[in-house]
Amino acid sequence: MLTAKFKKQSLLVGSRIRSLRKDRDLTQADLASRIGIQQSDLCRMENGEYKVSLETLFRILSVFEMNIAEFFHEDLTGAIKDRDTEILRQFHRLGPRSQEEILDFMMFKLQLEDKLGTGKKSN
Amino acid sequence: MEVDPLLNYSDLTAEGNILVRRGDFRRAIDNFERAKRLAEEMQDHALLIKTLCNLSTARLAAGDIREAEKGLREILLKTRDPQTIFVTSSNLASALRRQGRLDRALLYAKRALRACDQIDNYAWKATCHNLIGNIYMNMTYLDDAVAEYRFALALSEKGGLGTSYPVDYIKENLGYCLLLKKRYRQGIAIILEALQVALKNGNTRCIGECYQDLSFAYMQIKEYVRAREHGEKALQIASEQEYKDILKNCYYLLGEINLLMGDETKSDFYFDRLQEFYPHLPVLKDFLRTFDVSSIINLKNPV
Repeated sequence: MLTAKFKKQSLLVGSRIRSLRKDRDLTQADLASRIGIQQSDLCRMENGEYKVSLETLFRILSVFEMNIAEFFHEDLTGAIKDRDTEILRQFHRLGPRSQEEILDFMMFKLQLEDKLGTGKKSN
Repeated sequence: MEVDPLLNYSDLTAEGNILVRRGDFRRAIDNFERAKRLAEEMQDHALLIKTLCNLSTARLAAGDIREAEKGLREILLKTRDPQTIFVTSSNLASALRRQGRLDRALLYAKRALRACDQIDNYAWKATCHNLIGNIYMNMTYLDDAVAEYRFALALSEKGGLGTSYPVDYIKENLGYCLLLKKRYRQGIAIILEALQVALKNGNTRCIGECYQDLSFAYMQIKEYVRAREHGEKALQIASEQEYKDILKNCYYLLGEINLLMGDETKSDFYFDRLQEFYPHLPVLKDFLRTFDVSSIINLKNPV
């Protein structure tokens, strides 16, 4: 399991719900009726505009019968890895001055690798 | 010495209303049940209707939604009395709101508002606008909700209600709505005002909600020690008074706050308590440990 410190933004929860719904071939109307909210409200929830109760949120989890690994599936197979998240977390703990120094250092390292031809190919 | 049943009825009803305002809903229900029996014995139909309305109000507050709803539509269909129309309509609106049937709830709330026009009672009018505000807040139409709460407060002031009921609830709702709009400092200031009023009025339910809201607010602005203190106070009240909704919210808040403070043992403790309410959902605890849901939830959404 991912560490408790790895916290995602709320908007991603909405978009993840949309993606899971589509994976299961559920329309917004289907899911809305199963969790007891209106379709327009589910749509607003997926867009991060509608706030739900804990009860509704848990009902959504229950409808999907999912586990956390499944919820994270995209991230685990995608570009973001635990180490990246940890780096980002630590970066946000720094003050603005230190953050600028880190960015400068990264630029320096990128330019150096570019010069030496040792860096990764960019997409 | 035999007690006059009408006097006894009046005493029970008056005390019941005070108990509702103080958040002691179970005792209020008991009072109104006894008043109902007296009204039946006296065969006074008008008193019986009033008692059924009072009973419905207390049951709603206690969370017995289905019971609270029973018979209200029949009363509403038969009556022409504006006060009865107001109480039955607003109670139906509250019951429907608690079931998440917000469009229907809004319809009945507006029916209650129309009945209010014929009644010279600022407290009732303010209550009605507060109810409409709650429905809008549940729909996440936050600007509309804020406008309704502000209008309710203006009516309270115009009616000279001072700090009496329902001003504590209106301020608390307004404050929480501002929190949802991320206007944290302003929201906190209004909730603190509401808390003072609720403490003065002895409104236990409102006090509990204020502490819960403050816990959420301080969590959002990363003042975790304060957030935890207020959460623990809310939890204590919710446990003592059996306010199940506040209890669940507090388990979530305290789980989250302790997690953010790095105390995973305490966090686990509270998330485990919350998990006990949802045995069919074993992923709940891991989900909350993994996702930040604080900005997509509304602690006052009943379903």
